Amino acid sequence: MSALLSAHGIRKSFGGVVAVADVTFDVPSGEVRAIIGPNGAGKTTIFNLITGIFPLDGGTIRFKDSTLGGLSPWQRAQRGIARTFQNLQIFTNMTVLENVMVGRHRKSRTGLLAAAIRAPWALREEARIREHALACLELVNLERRADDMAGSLPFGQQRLLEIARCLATEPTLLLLDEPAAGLNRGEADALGRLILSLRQRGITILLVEHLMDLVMGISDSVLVLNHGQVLAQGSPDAVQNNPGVVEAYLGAEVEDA
Amino acid sequence: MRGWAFIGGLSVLALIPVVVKTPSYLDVLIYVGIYTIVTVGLCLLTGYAGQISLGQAAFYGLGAYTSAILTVSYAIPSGLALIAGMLVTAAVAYGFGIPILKLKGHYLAMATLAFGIIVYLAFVEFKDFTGGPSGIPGVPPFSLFGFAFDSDIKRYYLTTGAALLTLVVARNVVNSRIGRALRSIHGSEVAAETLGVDTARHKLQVFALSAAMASLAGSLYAHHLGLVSPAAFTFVTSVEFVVMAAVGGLASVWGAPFGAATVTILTEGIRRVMPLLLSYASGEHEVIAYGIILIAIMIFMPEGLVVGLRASFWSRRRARG
Repeated sequence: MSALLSAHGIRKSFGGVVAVADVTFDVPSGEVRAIIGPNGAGKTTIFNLITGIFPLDGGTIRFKDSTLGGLSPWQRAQRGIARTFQNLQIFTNMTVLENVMVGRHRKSRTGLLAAAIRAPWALREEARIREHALACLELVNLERRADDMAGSLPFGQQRLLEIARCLATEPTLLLLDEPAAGLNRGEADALGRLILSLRQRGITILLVEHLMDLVMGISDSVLVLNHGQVLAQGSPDAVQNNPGVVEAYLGAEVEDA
Repeated sequence: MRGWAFIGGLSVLALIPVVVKTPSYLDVLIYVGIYTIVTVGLCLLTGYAGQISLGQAAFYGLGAYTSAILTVSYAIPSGLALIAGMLVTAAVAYGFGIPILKLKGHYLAMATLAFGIIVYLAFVEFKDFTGGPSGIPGVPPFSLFGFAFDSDIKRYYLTTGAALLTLVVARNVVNSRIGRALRSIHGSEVAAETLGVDTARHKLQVFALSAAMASLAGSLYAHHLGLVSPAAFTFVTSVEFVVMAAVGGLASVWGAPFGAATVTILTEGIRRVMPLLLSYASGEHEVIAYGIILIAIMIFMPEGLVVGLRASFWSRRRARG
């Protein structure tokens, strides 16, 4: 069986700056795969390439055995790719529950006309959307804040809200961009458990994260990037013991700390 | 509680013409209804979807001209002409929206402004169809199934009913999957896209819907006044619509009637009161007073009248009790 997502020779540069030089990797179905690397290594750019926010300069990305080339972000979301954002992209003009209900967009049909006349089937669908969104909020323990404005949530809960919003789309592949950034120890541990429970539900996870305890604790395999290129990939243990990685990345981090 | 408020509101609207006998007052209220319809569309477009239009008068004008041309030159029933106007205008907005809704913020404002000017010039220049600068006189009163809305009282009920219908449609759209998609575009376009919302399509839809609403208002205007001419559809009119939407409050479609009423009544009121206060007052002086009042509203109630008045009402109640 081939990989759920496979990137082959992907490249992206901005002006003269090469963000992703020539990266090839596979994400097998059902794995938690982490991408680590120093700031500017091209991790978030890879997320933006997978979700179609930027077009590729070269290479191909295949998802479920078909190419994603030429598809806009919403079409990729329709195919089952969801993502969170490093710099949060919460809909602050909506309640917590409404944020998650937007995630049901993909799985619902009501059009402008049916909405305008409050057609019975539209109201029934609306009830189902609400119910499912509440269930997603329960998964991240935010159901008690459902009717609060999303912007009023503390930072850590906003990160969870982004995850709940993704879950509402019933993704096959979930991209998490530094989900632990700004979380305290306890919150980060809870996040780790949540990610593992999502994997158990059959969601494949691609994780960009700086918090090494979390990465090494939950990942099935790790991809190390440096200057837009793959430095190493393999199991957490293999990567941690890779001399090149220790020198380029982990070593520098340890000294900083 | 809500139901009673709604019935109460309806009764007040229904009884107004019984109390208000002065024809010119009724005329003002008819315009409040007409402008409410345009403003509701702008609220959806700007307040919910976060897209700016400085060209709404063009859609208003397209509706007015379609109704005028079809009823005067082709003797088509006014109801059909009104629907044709909405369809044509929505189609124009859709086609024009495909390239320009890719623009954001100021650039979108500029493009819609330019569109408004082009349409205005078309009204002036295509003399064979539009009658040029003097326009098309003799537009008959609106009639439906043989019933002609041939007096101000009848037209008051027509425009008020149409405004209420527009408000209900807008409220339904807002409280739906579509409304949420629109607000998500306003909140974060990139997040909306990555959650599977086809943002380009939804922006086009709401643009076309707001244009259709403006067109409906334009048709009612043409039948009320009995005359269309380009002067009513200039850039200034577009700006007035934006002002109405902002004064009423963009956060809710219910702000639209308040914004439309405030601006319309203010304009009329100042026109009447100013000459009494200043013997030498002319048109320019009215504009100054009007401007000052609008600035005051935006300073003290930046989120619009509805939010502002509600907040002060609650704080006063709390202070008392």
